[in-house]
Amino acid sequence: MGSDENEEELLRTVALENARSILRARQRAQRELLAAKEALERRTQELAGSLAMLRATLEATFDGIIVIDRAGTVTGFNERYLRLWRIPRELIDAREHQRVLQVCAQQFADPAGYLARVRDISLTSPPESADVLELADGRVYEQLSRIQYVDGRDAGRVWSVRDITERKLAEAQLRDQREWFQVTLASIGDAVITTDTAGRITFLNSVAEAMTGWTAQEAQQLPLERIFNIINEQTRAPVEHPIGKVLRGGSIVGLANHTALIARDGTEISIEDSAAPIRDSRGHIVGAVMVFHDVTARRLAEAALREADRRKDEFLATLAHELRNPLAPIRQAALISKAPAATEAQKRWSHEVIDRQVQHMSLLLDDLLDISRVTRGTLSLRRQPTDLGSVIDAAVETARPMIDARRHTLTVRRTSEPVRFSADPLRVAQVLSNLLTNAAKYTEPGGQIRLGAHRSGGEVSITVADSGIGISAETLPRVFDMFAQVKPSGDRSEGGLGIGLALAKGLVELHGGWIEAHSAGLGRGSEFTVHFPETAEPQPPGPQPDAAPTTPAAAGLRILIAEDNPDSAETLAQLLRLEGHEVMVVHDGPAALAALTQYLPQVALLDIGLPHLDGYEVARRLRERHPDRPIRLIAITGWGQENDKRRALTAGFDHHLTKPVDFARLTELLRS
Amino acid sequence: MPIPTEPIGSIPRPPWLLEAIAELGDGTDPRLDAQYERAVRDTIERFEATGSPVITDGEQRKYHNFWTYSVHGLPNTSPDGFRIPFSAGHTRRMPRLTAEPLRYQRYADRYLDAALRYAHVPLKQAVISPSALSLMYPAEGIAGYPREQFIDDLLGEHETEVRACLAKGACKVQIDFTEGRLANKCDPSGNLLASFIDLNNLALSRFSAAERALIGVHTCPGSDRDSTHSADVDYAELLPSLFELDVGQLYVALAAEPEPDRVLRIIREQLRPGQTIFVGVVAPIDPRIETPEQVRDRVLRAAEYIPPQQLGTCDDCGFSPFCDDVSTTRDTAFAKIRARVLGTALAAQELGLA
Repeated sequence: MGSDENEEELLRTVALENARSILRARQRAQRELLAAKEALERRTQELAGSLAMLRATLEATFDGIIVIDRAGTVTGFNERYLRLWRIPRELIDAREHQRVLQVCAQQFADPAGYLARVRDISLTSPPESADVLELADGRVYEQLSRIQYVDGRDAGRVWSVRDITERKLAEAQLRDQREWFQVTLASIGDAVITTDTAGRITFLNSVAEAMTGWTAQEAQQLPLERIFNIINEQTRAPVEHPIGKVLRGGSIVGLANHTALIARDGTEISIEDSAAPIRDSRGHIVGAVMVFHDVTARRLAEAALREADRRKDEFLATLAHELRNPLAPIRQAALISKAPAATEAQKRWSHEVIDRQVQHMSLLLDDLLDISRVTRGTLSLRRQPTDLGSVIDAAVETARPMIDARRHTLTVRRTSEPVRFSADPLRVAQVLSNLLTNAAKYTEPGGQIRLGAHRSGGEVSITVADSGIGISAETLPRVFDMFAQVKPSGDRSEGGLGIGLALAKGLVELHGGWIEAHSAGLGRGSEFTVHFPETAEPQPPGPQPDAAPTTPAAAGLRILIAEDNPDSAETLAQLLRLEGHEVMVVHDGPAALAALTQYLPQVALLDIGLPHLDGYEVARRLRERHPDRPIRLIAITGWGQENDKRRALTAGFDHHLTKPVDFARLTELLRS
Repeated sequence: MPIPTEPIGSIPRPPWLLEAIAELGDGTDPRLDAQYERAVRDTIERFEATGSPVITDGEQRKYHNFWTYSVHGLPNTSPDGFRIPFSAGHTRRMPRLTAEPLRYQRYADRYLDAALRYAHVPLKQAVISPSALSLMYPAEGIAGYPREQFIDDLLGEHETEVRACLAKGACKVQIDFTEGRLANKCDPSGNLLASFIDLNNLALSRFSAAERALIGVHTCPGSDRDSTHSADVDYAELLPSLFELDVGQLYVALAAEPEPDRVLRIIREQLRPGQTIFVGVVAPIDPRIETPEQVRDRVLRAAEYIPPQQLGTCDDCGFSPFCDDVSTTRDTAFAKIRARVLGTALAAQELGLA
């Protein structure tokens, strides 16, 4: 460097050069500053816009939002947050989260629990939290929180809260509905299967599980045809399952008749079903539901009904036949009886024929009435200490004519010592005589019939065995059914209605006993055994047995007979006149009413089914008009049920007799 | 609230340290580390003993001086830079940049490492201004390294140094701008001074307002061997520009000024809200030790012009900006500092601020 003066000059030069550079640097800096300032202003405007947008977004959201920094200061919030938590404006202005939380906490039944949960989240600082809050007044809020990262740094936490009360209620309702639906489907008696639109199984109820043999879990998402294999019962051809049709056609489809489901184990089950589409709220098909049930039992019942109907028809034909059969000998006997040339012996014989045939018809009708009472539970027993030997004797006596007529040999083996048991002796004798008559009827003439009795184990057993036509194994289970009748050759030559065994079974069971039938097969004889408990609970009092001993006839009464059947009326009148009574006959209701006031009978026998004015009405009017007249009204009717009798008594009758009139009973009434 | 009082920076190095440096011929020799450590510890102990609420490390390790410490030893410099003449007749010569780029050899924050180990009160750190180092670039320029690039590099290095000091724990960073009056001496037109202010403001603009509140600028006419390099330049020509610097604190030498009231009036006219003016109340170039009362009176006089809440006190300058300056002893320096601390407290008491 040169002299001091030059050096100072050089320093000045350098300094000034520097000054120019600095000036340029400053100008550049100013330009940069200006540009930065403008950019900052733009950015500020953008930021202000973004902030306004952010604010608007915050306010537009359905969530209440609050932002808390790590020091617990509220750095942001929206109005919805204030509304949801009912936070006063002045409180939020204080920006203290703890004070805000206190207000929130007071809205819970357990404020401390809520505060503890928030404190836990704040202390442990999980990346996210989610809580469902149930407030004391029933509101339900969903509270979420996340760490707020600013420039990658944990700056605090953003809390959001949403009112989900309605959603929760709807969910609860839906859950209840779903549960109700599931319970309904599970408890329904029918099998239910649902599928998706591809026909894959989505649901099976327990009935469907039981019928198909597949569990719901196993069947899930399997094609329906895999577990629902159906065939036509008659053709055995596979049948298309109805859900396929439903999904294609969109309408309800019922299954064809005679469809059988082949279960997983090969079991064949007769079913009926229908299927329908499942549609969503827009009507789109989202699946299908099929309901089906086991109709095997119903099919069997229907077959049984058809069989019963067939047997009823057969019975009616038999009944007609059985009722018509006695008519011919009666008519012929009547002709003989009134023939001028008939001798007294012929007349007596014809009277015996008529009496025997009438007895036969009465027995038929008695059986019919008894089986009806047994079936309807209206027959009561007259229990009393009963001597077994006596009832056997009575039964044998009843059956003896037929046994003898067919030249059977009857062997009776009694107990070694007398046996007495609680029973209705008439009904037990009726049972035994039925069995003996059956044995006689279904055994070729000259056969063997054995009756044996014994007592053991508190039980009295009587067996009737024969060497007759026997019973096939196929028929044996139904031998006690109503209208069942063993037909050895397709005709009804042996007679009877086929109700004898059913009646016997009913009477035995009324006694608390039971009856059994055995046979080694057709042509190998039959064996029937009845078992009676030695002692039995006394039966409640019920209808009185119709049978009654005969009594001496009364004489000298003025009697009115009102009967639309002239023959019936006249024959009865003749019988009564033979007994010494004075009898007047009319044939309709008005005539009867007139005769009652003019003829002034002491006894009136009124048919119920009188023309123009029935017997009930005749009785009622007579009792109304002449309440003090000492006349005995006796109803004579084909209707012999208890309520028929009650109805007659209510109308004013004193007695009720069932056609054909038991003349001995009538005589007893007239004497009483 | 008491009146704040702060040192400017340098304390004379102990003689044994100077001997060791002379012996090795280079004050940056690592073999001096132990002596430097000892000197720093002793300086801080004695500094804290004065009661000064803010201290420095006495710039014991700044070599060779407050101006060139950051570039001392750079391979792309030569020692034949500009000469700074002092009134005592001696000169100091700056280094000259010979090649690109300008990179500091060291940043002042390294001095804080040792000081923080011993200090019990806040430490401040002084750094050289960019404008002072701008004179390193040669008049003829450097091929391939334009002056503008040099200025950019300089600003970057300065920013790095200030941030490092703040980050390390300095309670304040003081930028030494002693070349302000020198600029006017070199260029009476004021252009050079204006460019220095511009350059320093460019540097300051890189800091936030909060950071600038911790940054101050010190100006003085220089102090070396009890003499100045620009005391003859009128403060009135410097101060208006000085107040254009965008900083929170200004440290202004005043104790040695022949017309302090005139300076104070200028300060009062230029003072901006939020600025604190630390006025020099002890003069390192004056071998006499001020009494606390003298200091008190100087403070009270300043308080007549400067609102007490914007007033602080300091030394006029460092006591030994150049390491080899032995014109003032350590004892004298600490005695003057003690006087500053006590006198400032007395003034505060007088003003009802204590």
